[in-house]
Amino acid sequence: MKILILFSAWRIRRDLDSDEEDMIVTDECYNKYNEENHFKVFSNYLNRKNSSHYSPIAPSFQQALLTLQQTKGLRHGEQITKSSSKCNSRKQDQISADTPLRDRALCKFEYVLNYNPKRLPAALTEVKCSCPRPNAKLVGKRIFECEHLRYQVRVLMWDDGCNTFREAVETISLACIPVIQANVNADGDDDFVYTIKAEIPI
Amino acid sequence: MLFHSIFWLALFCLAGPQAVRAEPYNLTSVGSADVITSSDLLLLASEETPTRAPRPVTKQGAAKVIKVERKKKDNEDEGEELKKTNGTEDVETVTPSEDPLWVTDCSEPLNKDISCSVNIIGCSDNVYKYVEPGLEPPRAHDVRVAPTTKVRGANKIDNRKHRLHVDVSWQMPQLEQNTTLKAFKLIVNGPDGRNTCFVFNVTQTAKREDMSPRYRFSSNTLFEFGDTYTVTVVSLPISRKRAPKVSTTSLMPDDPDAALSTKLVKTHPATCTGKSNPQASKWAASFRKIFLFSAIRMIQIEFLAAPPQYCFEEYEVRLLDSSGIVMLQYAVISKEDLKTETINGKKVQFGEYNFTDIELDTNVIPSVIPIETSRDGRCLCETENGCSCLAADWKPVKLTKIEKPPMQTNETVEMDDKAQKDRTDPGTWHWHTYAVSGAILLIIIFTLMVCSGPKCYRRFRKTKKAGNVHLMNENPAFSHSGSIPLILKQSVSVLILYSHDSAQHEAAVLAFAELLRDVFHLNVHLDAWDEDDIEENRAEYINASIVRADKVILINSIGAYYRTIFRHKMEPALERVVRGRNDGIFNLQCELALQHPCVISCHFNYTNPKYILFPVTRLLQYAIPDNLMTMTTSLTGQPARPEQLAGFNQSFARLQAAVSRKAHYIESDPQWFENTHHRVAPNPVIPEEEKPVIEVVPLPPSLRLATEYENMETMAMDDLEKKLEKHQEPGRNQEPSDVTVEVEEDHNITLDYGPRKSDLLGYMEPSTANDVTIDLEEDEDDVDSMEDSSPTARIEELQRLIVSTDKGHDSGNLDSAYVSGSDFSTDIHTDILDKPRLTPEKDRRKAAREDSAFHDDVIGVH
Repeated sequence: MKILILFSAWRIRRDLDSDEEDMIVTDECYNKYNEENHFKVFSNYLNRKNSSHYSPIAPSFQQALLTLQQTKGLRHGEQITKSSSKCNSRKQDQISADTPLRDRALCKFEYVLNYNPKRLPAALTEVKCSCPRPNAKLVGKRIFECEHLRYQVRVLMWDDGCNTFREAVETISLACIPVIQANVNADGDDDFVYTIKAEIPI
Repeated sequence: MLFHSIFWLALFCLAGPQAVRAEPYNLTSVGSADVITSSDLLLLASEETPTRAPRPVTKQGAAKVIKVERKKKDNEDEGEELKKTNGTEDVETVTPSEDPLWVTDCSEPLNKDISCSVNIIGCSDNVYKYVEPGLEPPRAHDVRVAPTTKVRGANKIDNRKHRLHVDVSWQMPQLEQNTTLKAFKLIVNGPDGRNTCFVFNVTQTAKREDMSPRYRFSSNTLFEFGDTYTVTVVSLPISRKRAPKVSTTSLMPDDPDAALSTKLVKTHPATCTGKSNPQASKWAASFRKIFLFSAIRMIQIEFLAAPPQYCFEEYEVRLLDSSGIVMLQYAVISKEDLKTETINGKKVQFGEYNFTDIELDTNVIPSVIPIETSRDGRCLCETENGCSCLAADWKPVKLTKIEKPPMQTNETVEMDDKAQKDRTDPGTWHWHTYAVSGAILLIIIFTLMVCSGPKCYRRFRKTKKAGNVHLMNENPAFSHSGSIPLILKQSVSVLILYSHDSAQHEAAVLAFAELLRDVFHLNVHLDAWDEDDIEENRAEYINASIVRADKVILINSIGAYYRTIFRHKMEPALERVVRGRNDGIFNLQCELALQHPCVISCHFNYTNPKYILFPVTRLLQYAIPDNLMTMTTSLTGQPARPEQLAGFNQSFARLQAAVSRKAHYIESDPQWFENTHHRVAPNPVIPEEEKPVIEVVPLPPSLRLATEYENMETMAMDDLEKKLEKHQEPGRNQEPSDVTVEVEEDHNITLDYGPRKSDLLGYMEPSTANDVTIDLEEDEDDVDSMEDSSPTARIEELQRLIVSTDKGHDSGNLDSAYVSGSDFSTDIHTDILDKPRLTPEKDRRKAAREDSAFHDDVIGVH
């Protein structure tokens, strides 16, 4: 998985370089600021972690996230939220407007940790769909699927020795959305459709 | 080669931007694998529509397409047919020229701002003139090339099993230079340098900020398995310096049939463990058999399974509704349940399932999709977005209702005869034995019934009589005091008390009783239904009916009101001119009934609410049929379900009809009451036959109870009283000769039968109470003595009631102790006149309560 990402990262980077020219918007403060200390400050800020805030992108409802423990460290793929319902749970009787959307979503999902110590930022939170389909008790018999909505995030990737780094793109899923099932019209002649007429009973 | 290309170029130039019809396919004998048969030409119109959503199939109809047949180098005579689907919606079925297959219109039917037409051109043609540099239109946006490997569904499976269907689509550019855009040129560069070009002429009249239409182009034949194609979309017109274009290169999936033929079967299991085919998400199934059995409402489906290299383990076959989103039925067919057939030396796997219990005359779409996750949890259909396989939907099918076959022909008649003959021969001896044994059985049963019938009947009567003695204890109303009875299924016993005002009123009451009995399943007792009991023992009935009832419904009416008033004022009773048999029961029952712990007071719509009996004015008044549901809630103790009366309910309709009939009767004859009623003088020797007019002895002044009544609140006069006063004025001591009624309104009838009723009444006149008590005792004695009186002359009936005895005349006998006079009445009338009162229709209940002397907020307890 990681290797694939790297390869794609290279490819994408090259595409970026070759096809389009860079757009430099001079109005941006980034282009107006003359110092260079903000680079270091930003890198530190991007990678800073404590037990409760460990990712530069995190869901708004922070209090639902697992509190990391220093002793255990960070593990890739660790589920950092736990749900209180199953894939086919009944709709809750009362849902307030302040209830986090994770509890109201048609497609149940959890947050997992995407951790790579050779990456900047090292820890990212992403979404993992818990169920292949939306809760049938909510959508009925409609054929929907739950799919990950993926985004690409620019990151820096180091080599194994942490000696050199390069630009890379990490694809993470930021939402689990109900979508219509993929379908096409089946190919074929009409000759296999027969209407069997009832025989007149004797 | 060169000659032919020039030839075709010349043809195109001559034809202009018009579609070119291909030469018939049968000329292309070589390379038959790519040739589309004529049936393909005709039927593919509906197949190549864009993939779903929201597809207005019914409105737009199937999209007509123009087919593209790849031009073979070898087949010089072979032409090209353009096949495409255009626009984001189905294409309008515009067929401009002689050939029905050509569609030049690719405009968007739902968005009239876009108009489009498609043509095939030579790739080096310049359709538009060059424009100045800088005025070129922007590039197309988001070009997608989506190949799909579709199984070719057919009843007869031949060599060519899969077809590559490619869907090319792009969006209009989103920038402001859209106005310069005139067309798109689609260039398909295949292997070996073959190019095919199409031009989409586009004009957009109105710009839309938020939407950008998507154009689609699909082909079953232009692309080949395993090759790499570059699709370029060029925005026209171009300038000499720059041609705005977007190119995408994509590799077509491999031919699954070719894989089958080359690779060995043995390797398939090995390739599938722990792996998944990256092209699995592009494979679409199809069907081999869709049999519609209308008679048994079944659809039998056979679908073609994927070749083994796709590693699918299960398939889900399902029926979708006509929208294609809702799944009506589904079934999962696992790999092991697939059937295998060898066709043309190749093994074909297919799955079979029968869908049953399908609604007739409803469109359903058969669909099949492989299950995307394997049994060990890995994804079998990897896509960019995740894991999803491709569902293959067929066209909507429908089971039609079977019509009755026409009359039999000779053949069928002969067949029937034959069948019958066959049947009768073996069946004759059966028939005889059955008949004989049946007859014997019937005789036995009949004799048993004859013997035991009277015995049972007598026993039943005895138990009924014996049971009356114990009624007081058995009445759940007394013993349980409102708690839920142990046998919940026991229906509530209800007694309806009403006065026989008129035939229409009786009919309304009867309809009401039937409604309660039939719809709400109450055990309803009515004097009209208990005639036998009344006949047997009238007094006992009066007692027993009340005691036995769980609840008593008192129907207030004008007649009931006046009867009660006169009775308790000890005045000449009010009777109908043509009396019915059970007319007199009301008064007796009413007095007793008011002692019942659960009295429900009702009145029909046509009854003015001021005619509510005073003892029950404190209770909640139910109007029938307006408050029927609320009343039944209180009757049954369970919340009323509106569906009980939902739709057309015959009983309810009958009740409403009866009520409206009475209302009309009242409207048509406002003096109906005085015309049909009169006062009966209290005379113990009064004969049974009805005199149309009975003279009432006027009350001597010394016996008037005017002082008592002056302190009471009185209700307002109605027109009847005024009219009576008119009658009375000429001669106060005169009784109206032929016309009837006085109307007295005594507000303070205190039906106090002693301490039992003290809580019901808030206001008491001790003197009257005592009087009343005494009178009642006398009444009861009289009632008992009435049992032995013989029936006298019968009265002619205008209605259905037949007067058999004069037991109904007990009111006269009861009243014999009381004295009343007309002038006494008129004094009351003057008092009443001074205090008029209005009772608006809307506010009946409120008005009744307000007028009541007992201003309580207590809702009546039932």
